[in-house]
Amino acid sequence: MKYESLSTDLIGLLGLKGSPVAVKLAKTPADIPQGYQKMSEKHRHCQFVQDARLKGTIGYATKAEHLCKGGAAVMGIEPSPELVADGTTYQKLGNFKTVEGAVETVSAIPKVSEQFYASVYAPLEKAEFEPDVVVIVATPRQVLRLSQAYLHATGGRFAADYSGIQSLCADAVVAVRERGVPNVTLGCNGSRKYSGIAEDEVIFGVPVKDLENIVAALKTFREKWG
Amino acid sequence: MVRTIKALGIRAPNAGFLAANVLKNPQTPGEEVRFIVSPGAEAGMDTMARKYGYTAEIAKGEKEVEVRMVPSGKTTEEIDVTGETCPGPVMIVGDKLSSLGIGERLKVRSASADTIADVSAAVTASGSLILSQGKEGDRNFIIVEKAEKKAVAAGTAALASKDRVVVAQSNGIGNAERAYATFIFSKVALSMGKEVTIFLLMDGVGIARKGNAATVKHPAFPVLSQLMDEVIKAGANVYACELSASFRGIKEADLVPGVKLAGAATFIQLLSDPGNAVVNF
Amino acid sequence: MDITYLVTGLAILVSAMATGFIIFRMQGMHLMAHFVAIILALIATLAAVVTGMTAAVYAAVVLQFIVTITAYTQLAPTLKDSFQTSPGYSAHLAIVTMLPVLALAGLLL
Repeated sequence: MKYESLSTDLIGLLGLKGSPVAVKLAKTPADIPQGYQKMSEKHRHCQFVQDARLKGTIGYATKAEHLCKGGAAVMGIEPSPELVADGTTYQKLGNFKTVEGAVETVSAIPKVSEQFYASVYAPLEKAEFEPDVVVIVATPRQVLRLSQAYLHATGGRFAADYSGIQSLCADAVVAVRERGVPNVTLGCNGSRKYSGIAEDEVIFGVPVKDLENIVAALKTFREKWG
Repeated sequence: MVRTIKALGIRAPNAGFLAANVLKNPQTPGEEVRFIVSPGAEAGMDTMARKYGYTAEIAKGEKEVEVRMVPSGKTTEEIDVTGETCPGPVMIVGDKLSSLGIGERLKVRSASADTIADVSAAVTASGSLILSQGKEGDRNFIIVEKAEKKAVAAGTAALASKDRVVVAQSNGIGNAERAYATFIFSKVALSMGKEVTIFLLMDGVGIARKGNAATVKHPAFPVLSQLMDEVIKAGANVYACELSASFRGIKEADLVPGVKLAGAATFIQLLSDPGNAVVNF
Repeated sequence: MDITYLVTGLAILVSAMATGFIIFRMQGMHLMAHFVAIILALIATLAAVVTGMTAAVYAAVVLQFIVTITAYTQLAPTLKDSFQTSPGYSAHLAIVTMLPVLALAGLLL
């Protein structure tokens, strides 16, 4: 498989728990990799990511399989629920003091501009498709190394932005896909409560094209820093 | 092509860091990137842009700020059409625009305000946007941004500007000005994105007889047969009235390639379609 | 030789300059051999009238014939297919068609 060695290297060099997850947005049923099945149960996007990461689950989820409408909406698989878009939901949930504040955050959530048929998941080493994004759930120290590895090639600063909601869907997948650069996000209430993102875990989303450089840098760090 | 990245809600200087990382990782070399950021977040972006070899063009709106990163040295393309007589300017601009990608910009200059007005009409008719206009010294200018022609909603089709032009030509090669007008006009219409149909009737069918158009030549224009050929190649439909042709002993085999014989019903249909703008010279 | 025929021919050629100019525009300012022939025939005929030299007379006759022939050969496509526009050419064609008869008359009578 194309990404097997990259995945093994990442897991080995960082000491990752579970696998990096390959995620892709499929425009039409024809874009689903051959042999991939629909997910058997209705789940949230972040749960699908965790299942791929920890259980090795492979599959795709259309509108019918997405339990969380917010996640499906930012990935273009469903229209955005009215009450989320107008700020009411998040304001009621307690995230924001005012509806206006909620709207300002919700309108800035990274969202794709097209419509998609489904989201596709697989552990990176088993992925038989080119991922739009690779999502790595890891400890802060591991994400530190990943950030350092990303900056190793050209320097500068890492830009991470998040708003505390829709972490694995908007921040880790959509933002990275749309911008073409990695992002770090700290999870959200939904993903931590329902999808088992642990106390000591955060999320690093990265375009697959950057992984080669990252792995090379990690190897350099291993040599120089042990 | 211009890539658009929405990065609202991220404040300075973080918006700048994000932009820096994006510019360092261009998806296609030499691409322009457009960042949409919240007001205030553009601070520092122009300095950062220069560092990476880009020029930042900042446009401030009420709720969003657009920061356009253009690779330095690749300035907005400019053309000066001073001295060209119609349809020269419209066609030169039309040609140039068709070579640009969606979102790319073109500055058109001319000493004549009327020419600029004509060009403005042509580009907006094909869906592009006029971003700004003004005068620099003795030159009038407009800055055009190429946009996709927006599809017209079904119900409003009848009220929208017509997209199809029908040129009815009943004069033949005996009147060079009218014959030239047929094809020059068609060329302009085609460059404005219109679908063109030419219906030759009466003397007009003579224009389509093999060899005839080659005898018509005005000093300021290419030989008529060449213009006709260009118009046909650019996708215009050219019909010759069956009756007029038979009156003159012209058969389909005598017509230049690309011209078809058609009957009255075709003509009537063309004239009756409300989506067709009909003109005759 | 009766000079009247030559003078008539001269008058026709002067007139042909005017009508010729009009059809020159109709043809798209296309300067053709025909118009050059008119000018040359005009000069030759004038020379023939003024000097009476035999050479000039023969030159005038030949050139006048060329004027008429070129009018028809070069306007042939128009005349063949442009039924509606041909009348616009009739004034010029009418007068240049008179030239061969008058030229021959001047020569033979």
